[in-house]
Amino acid sequence: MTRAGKNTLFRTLLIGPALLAILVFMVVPLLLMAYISLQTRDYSGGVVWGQFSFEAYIRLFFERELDDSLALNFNYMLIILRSVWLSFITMVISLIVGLPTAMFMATRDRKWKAVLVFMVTLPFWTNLLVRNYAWILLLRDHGTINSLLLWLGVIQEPLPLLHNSFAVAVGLTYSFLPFMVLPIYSSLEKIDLRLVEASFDLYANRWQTIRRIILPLAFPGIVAGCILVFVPALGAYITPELLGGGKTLMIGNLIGLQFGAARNWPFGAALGLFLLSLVLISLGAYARRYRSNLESA
Amino acid sequence: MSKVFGAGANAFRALDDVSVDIKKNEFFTLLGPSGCGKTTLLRLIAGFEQPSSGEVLLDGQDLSAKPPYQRPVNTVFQNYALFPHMTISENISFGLEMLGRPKDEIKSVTAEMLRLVRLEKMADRRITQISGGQQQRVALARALAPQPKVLLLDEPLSALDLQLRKEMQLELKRLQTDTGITFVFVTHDQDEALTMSDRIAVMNGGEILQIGSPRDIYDKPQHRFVAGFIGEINLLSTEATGEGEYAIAGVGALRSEDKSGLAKGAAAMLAIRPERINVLPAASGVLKGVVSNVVYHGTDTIVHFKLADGLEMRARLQNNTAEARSFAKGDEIGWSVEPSSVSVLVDAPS
Repeated sequence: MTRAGKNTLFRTLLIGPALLAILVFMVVPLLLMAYISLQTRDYSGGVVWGQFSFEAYIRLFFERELDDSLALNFNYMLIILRSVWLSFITMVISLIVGLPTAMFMATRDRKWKAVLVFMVTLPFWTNLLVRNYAWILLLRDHGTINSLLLWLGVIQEPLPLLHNSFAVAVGLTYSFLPFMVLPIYSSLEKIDLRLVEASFDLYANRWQTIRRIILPLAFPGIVAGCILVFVPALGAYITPELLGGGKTLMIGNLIGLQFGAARNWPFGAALGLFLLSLVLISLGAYARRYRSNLESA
Repeated sequence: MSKVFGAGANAFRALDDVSVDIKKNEFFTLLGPSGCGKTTLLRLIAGFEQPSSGEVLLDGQDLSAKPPYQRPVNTVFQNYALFPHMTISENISFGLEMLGRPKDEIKSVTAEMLRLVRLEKMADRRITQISGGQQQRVALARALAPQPKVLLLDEPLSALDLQLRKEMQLELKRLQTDTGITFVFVTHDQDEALTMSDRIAVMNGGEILQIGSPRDIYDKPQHRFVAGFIGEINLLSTEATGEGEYAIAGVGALRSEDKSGLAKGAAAMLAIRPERINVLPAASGVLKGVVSNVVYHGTDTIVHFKLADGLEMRARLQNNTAEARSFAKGDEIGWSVEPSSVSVLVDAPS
């Protein structure tokens, strides 16, 4: 066998298992989902196989009246918009909180850096469900925060902190903040400190140095952090389920509902694909907009 | 001025009570081996380090309390530290922008700098797209653009190959003469220091051993370290025998113009450059030696010879004279040195 042939074989062997896993566990289920979304629902769950229908996609935007005519229905759109909005808010707050945190971490001693990185990853050691329950204890009417504020006399009535969009945003930000901090930290850490010195040397003060040198160089990390927060937040399930109290649904909950109580698999599958295309579109927009910055960094 | 890193038992005294006076429009070089404190001294001037004691004065004004971005001093960094996310012209105009200069001034000065370092055609290239030599010139232009009072250069040529380094040495000297800016240049390369500087400070172990013109430093080294660090030199242990006279036991006596002030009978260390030694036929020299080796070097020949006390000396003879070829191993020769070419080292003889 030629050397080139050997190399090709070797490469195929190396990449093969991963390719196979992606094929079996991602491509096949996706195709299956696309297929299901185009089937007729079976009222006891599952689908009537082979009976094609666009009903699931129509349902995203319209409601069938009794006489079978279509009327616009914004209920599902509202949930989708809320999901996008909450994820966006989560991303922005995570960025505002995460960027200074990452900067602080990146400028410590080597010894401290390791400790701080460990502390950021610490929440991962506890189950997400448990952590969200903890927020219920903090946010509810007789929870820690309200009790404290009442005791201090700041408020007379408990604030409505739980079971609303606010609670979901808090929970999402809390859950995904580390995904913002870590990539920004790692890109900040790679910045050559001599560039900062050069900036100071050329009359840039601290703020100008952050804006003109550090932020542009940390940009790939900031983009990565935003994607890592926005995308999983968009598909969040546990947090809106627990902290939204069933009133503040997000797409994830809606999808869960279709495969569970509502027994409308085609609609659930259609929603899932809709969520996927939403993510791909936003990633594409991001990539297009910031391609030049990403390449230069 | 002193600089101590760390504290207590681990403290490292990088600079030990150093004092330098650098003149306006001067090309001043800090020369020394790595770890001698020359870069620390430069960073103190730039403001990246704070002195443990002492102060940095510029035109009589104390800079010590000012952050780097308020000092009219710019640096060419060892590895250039160019901003990778900016083009060449953006790098060069950065300092002027930060100083809040008007747009048209920034534009014209940047264009002028690009011309000065001959990179006009590359203004919009990214830093990653140009060679090391070009990066070096961008770093220089970037530091010169704000017209600093002092330009600090931290081994700016060390990353370049020999050919390019020689070219840049001349170019740097030209830029310094053209702009009239004071250059403080840090290097461990003695050739570089000798060719470019108006004055050199030789440093070792956090101290400045000698400050002087390249000629002074080379011809009249005062310390054993200075003598050995720059060029080749012969060191002779002697005994002072009177006004300007030094005896080499069993060999003879040498005269020096240096006023060492050593008492009669005191030990004295003499330093003589190999090219200052005249090698003569055995009959015509007062001091004798036996040739132990003759090495041909193209432009010159090194004659190694042994003195009666066993010390080996080197003499460098130019190959444009006939006698360079007339010596062979084992020959007895005579030698002499002009008193002006004999330096008496002031540090403790050993």
